Amino acid sequence: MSTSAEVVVLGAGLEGLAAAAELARRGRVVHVLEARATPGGSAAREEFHPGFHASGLYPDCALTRRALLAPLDLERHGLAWRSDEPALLVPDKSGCPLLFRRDPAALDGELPPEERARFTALAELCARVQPILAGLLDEAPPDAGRPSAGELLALGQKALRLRRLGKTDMFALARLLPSSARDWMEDALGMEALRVALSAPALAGTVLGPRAPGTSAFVFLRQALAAPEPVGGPAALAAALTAAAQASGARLRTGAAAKRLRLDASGVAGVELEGGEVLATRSVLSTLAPARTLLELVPAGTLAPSVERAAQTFRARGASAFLRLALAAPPAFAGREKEPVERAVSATSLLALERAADALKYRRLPAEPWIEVRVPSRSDPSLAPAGQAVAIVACHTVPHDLSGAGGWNDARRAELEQALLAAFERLAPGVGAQVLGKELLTPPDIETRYGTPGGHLFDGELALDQLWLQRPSLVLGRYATPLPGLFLGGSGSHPGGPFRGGAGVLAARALLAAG
Amino acid sequence: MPAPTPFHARTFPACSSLLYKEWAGCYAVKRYDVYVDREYYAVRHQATVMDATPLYKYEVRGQDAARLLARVMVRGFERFAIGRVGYVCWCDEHGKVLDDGTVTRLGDEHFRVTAADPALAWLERQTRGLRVSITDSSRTLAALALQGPRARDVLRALIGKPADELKFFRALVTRLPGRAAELAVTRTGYTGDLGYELWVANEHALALWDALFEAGAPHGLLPMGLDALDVARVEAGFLLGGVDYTSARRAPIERQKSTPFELGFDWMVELEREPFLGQAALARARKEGPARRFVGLEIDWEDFERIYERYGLPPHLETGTSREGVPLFRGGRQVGYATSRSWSPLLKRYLALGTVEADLAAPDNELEIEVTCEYERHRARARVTKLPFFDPERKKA
Amino acid sequence: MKTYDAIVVGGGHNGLVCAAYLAKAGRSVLVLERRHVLGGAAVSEQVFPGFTFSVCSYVVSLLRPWIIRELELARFGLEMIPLEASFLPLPDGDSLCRWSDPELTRKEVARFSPRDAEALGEFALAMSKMGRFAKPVIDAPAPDPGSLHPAKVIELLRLGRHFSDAPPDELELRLKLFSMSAVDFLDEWFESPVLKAPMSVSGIIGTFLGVRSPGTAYVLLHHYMGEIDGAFRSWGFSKGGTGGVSNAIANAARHHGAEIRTEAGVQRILIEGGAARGVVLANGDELRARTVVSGCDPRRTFLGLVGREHLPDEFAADVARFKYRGSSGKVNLALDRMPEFTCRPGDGPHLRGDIAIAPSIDYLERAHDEAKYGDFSSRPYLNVVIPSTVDPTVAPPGKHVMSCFVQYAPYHIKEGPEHWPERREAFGDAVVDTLAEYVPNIRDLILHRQVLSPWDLEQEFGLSEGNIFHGELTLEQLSFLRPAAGWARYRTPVPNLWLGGSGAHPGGGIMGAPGALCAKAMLASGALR
Repeated sequence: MSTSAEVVVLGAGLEGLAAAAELARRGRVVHVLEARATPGGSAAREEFHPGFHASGLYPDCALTRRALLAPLDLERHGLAWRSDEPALLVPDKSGCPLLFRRDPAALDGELPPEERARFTALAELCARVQPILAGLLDEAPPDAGRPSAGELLALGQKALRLRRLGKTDMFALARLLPSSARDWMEDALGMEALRVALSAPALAGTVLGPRAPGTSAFVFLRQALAAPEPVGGPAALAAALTAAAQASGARLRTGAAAKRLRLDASGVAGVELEGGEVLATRSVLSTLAPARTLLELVPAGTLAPSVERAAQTFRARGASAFLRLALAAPPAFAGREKEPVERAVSATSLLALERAADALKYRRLPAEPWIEVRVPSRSDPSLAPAGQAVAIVACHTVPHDLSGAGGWNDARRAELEQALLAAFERLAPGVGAQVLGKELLTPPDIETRYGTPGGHLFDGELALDQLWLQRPSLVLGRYATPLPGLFLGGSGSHPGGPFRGGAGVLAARALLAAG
Repeated sequence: MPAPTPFHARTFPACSSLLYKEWAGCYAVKRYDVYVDREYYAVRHQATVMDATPLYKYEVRGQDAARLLARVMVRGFERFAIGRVGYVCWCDEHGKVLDDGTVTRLGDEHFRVTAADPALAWLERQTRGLRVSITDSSRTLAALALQGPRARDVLRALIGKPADELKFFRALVTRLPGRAAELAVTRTGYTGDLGYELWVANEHALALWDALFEAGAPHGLLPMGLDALDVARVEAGFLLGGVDYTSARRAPIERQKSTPFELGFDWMVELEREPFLGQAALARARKEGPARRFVGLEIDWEDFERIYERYGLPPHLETGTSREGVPLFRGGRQVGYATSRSWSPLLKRYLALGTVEADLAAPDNELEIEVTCEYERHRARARVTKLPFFDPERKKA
Repeated sequence: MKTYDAIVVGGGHNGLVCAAYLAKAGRSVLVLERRHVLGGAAVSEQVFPGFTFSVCSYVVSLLRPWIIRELELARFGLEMIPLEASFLPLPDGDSLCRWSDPELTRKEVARFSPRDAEALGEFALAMSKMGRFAKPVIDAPAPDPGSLHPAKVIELLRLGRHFSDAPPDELELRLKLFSMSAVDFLDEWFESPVLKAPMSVSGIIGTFLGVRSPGTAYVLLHHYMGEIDGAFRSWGFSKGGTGGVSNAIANAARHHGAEIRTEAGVQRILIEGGAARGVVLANGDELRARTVVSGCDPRRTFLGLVGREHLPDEFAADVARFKYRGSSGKVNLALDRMPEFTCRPGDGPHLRGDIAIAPSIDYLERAHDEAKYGDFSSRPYLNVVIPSTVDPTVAPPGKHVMSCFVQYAPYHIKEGPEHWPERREAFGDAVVDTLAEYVPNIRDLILHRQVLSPWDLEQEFGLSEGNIFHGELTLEQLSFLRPAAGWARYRTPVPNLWLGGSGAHPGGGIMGAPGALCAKAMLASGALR
């Protein structure tokens, strides 16, 4: 049996749903194929213990590209945006942890006056550059080889805006962006907890410690661009996108995994599903990881070696593990027991972040992991039974290909779980006793469950050479592939990574523009 | 330091000239005598043996071996019969030639590829999704080229009747007489004469050499070096990678790269089939037609002689083939370059191989070639000539 | 009292190059060197009787060929001897030698990976293309993106075009080269760790980064840009040690009339009316000049010799922020006879190049990790040369000098840099112990040992925090940011004061470019008209 669609979108994760919603809104007949039983991909709501749910794999969605999603009118489909920024708890040597918010005005009483002034200066620099960065993220990258007049103009305008910020800002950026987070933080700030608060969340998705050159850029992007998140986190965003796409007529098929692309002389001719069914189409927008799309779905030998090589060399060494906890009561964080803390980081110094990242180099479990904790049930009580709580403990220095005999096994999993629980216990004494149920997702688990090679959170590492024009590579950085009719639009495309929703919408636009 | 080949124990004592060169990291005899003539005349009148071991060789095995080769090469190999040999080139994704060599189908799932440059990684990179394995036999498989009008007689003396049945560009696998060693014989060569190439594992190399010379003694069999080969291959109109064209892998700039059409390989390019490397670019290149073409040239001997006469000198020719590139002109404008030049002792003609603008590539076009005499530049007439210059019936018979 | 056209503070190779250019242009120049020998860190000294060492810098690669030509350095005594090989002994008794002959190298590499052997040629071709692209960048002053002057804007656009005008594959390579780590970059080309480890170390020399730190890939280019005698890709020893380079430049400068004084330490730069007017020597003498050029690093120049009070705040802050973080030391050994490596016994051409102790990427990372947390590497990366194998003038017959560049030796050890003197010999022992794993009898061969920690480099040679490049060569400290934003063109905020050392664009190494470009900028500016 064979059906046909104008456009087939592969993958119903956030990017796939955003792409489908955009395409359908613009009048295209869209079929979305999702291998899993439910839409949402790694943003799906999952019950990991009876009555306890996780809202996606990685709860953070502060960098969602809201402006790009605006035309989809997600609010009409039940999405609400938070008005607050949940504070991030970071231990401080004083004993009283810092509750950090990226808005300096919200830090009354948290920082000594001179430190607050320093942070304000830093935050203001980020805020001044924010519109330029947002512009870069919310547009397709230019054609590096032969930029069009329009692209040159747009770039020129951005350069001019940058220049208008003044020499001081421009030079500060030039110095700061290639530098290490540690250098910037130590030059700009005095309080270690504050440095950690800015740096730690920005390292998720990299394989780097804060001493690695270029990590400043990620700290900068986060500080400049983080914004209030959707109420209900990634799963709520996925649900609204699903509703929006379906309302515009997109057809969503779950349990339908693409097996390979069918080609003819003029390019893509259809999608063959596992099971043999063929969906005829001339346009495929794949939000699967670039390596999966180009090396598994496209018949071998079709793409030029340089393109295959680009897909092969796009680095996606997963480094994040998640421990989902069902808790009998919300955790009480030491020193801030009374406050409804929703986010926390356990690291006490940049050095601790650096040491933990060392483990990745040798593909070992970190001896002293630092964790990023989220208690999503604080803001979304539907995730847990009344009075109880869900905590997601993330660790961003867990290697995918663990060294040592046999790699990952039950003993190593138990070792990791204990280390994560111990770190959580130090942050919130007594939390261990509240655990009713738990689920550990290591990078190999993530790879298996969500189909992301390497088990990488974002389908590809965050690194200076894997962003913008080069996400996933210069020849593939503008969504279209050399195979006529095939477009990439997942997290492995610009802006990708933590900038959710952006790649899907921009890829959809590129497809529409290509006609 | 170059490495000796498995035949070194025989070639070294025979090489009275001590003239060697490095070929793919191995010692290769340039010529056994100080003068090249004896070896050259032997290949055209008797038979010669040349150590071809330095060639790169790869064994491609597995049920998708044919598919791999079809994916890499400019021609398909799926319907290539067992026992056939094909001359072929392969290109990068931009349709620019990387190398040329032969492909021999030794079995249903076994091909042997020869190459001038290492190609293991290149072949391996194209194996995605295919059930195929590639082994580098370059330094484990010894090779001899048995060439010349009496080559068949020599071979018959060695392996018997099958020698008579082996057709042009066909292969057979037999045993080295008196040994269990497997011996592959292909009716191929680089001399444009009747000839065979013999392939045997290193450890049997000397046995093969000795057996061949025993069999060849009545037929005047001689060892031959690269210099005589170089003259023979120019007569045969065979181009040589690194001399007549530059591999796209080694070319630092675009203009040094060539499409198969520019090299006269039009006949081997099969475009209408499953995707292969450079397919789209080659389709475009064929449609547009090449801007330049590889051609044979005959240099006007009278003109050449006259130039030297002006200085009171007899005409001077280098030993063997000159590989120094010289410009070609037409009407005062440079229109190409000659890359190999040889005096053909057999044809008594001064031959050249070169590349010229496509619209001047037809036979009988009159061009001029630069000749330097006494440090002064002159031009002699050179006529585009159909290749091969030398094409004896025995080559294919 | 004589007023010179220019006084050059510091007789290092850049100061001397600058002086030679100014003198050649007919200006009166005085070079003042604090030590008793010229050369700064490009110096040869007879540390032990009969044994001459290139005490600090030990090989010459990037000395600009146009400087050699313009200053006629060969005529003034420059003699270069090319390095024959790059030898990597391995702990398992194997080894890899990369030769100047690519075919030989290919064969060596093929033992570890035939694929890598095949990729070598392609890699070299790609890198030499990149090198050709990078060359004009280090041979011209840095761009000035802060200026809105049309000429500067056009210059910047031209640079943008120079960068982006290439086929996509080359463009991608450029982008990758300037943003990736050396290991990630090499991973895209090669599979054998035995090849990748010694290649990747060129990315970290003199920096406080690891081979997996982003931004280290571009330094790989240096290996494809090294040129002596105009021949691409060759590295060499200077006859008589690297001081030979400095002496040749000094001879050229003297020939053109420059005056050079040693043991003439400058105590401060004389500032009057907000402008540099000369210098005050350590002995109190005052010398006056129309311009002063500093060959010292930015910290020493501005915060030491000038003083913060004479600097605009923003510039002073930038200079104070400039990172040094010396990460390397030097151990110089006088040997009784030729050392013998277990993996390749006997003397041979493999010892006539540089010898790398860099057996694996993890080894290099472990060495880096120790340094990150405030200790010298217990098993460091070593780059060893034995110049006496090719230059008999540096050691008595039969004896040898062995120079070991050692990384990591952090200036900031956890005890504090001033505690280096107590740690110095332990550091030397770590180096000898490391060597002994490959040359078991090395201890018996050592006649004398000189150990230089980054602290010593600072004390003895005036290199702030022992950084051999006058400040880290990381992206944020290169080009128009070197040494401070807007002040990368040798001019400084102090009128008449110029910076012509490695702390200026294009940076460190025995290149001579900062000194030469500084002199050219001075002459073009009209300051010495």
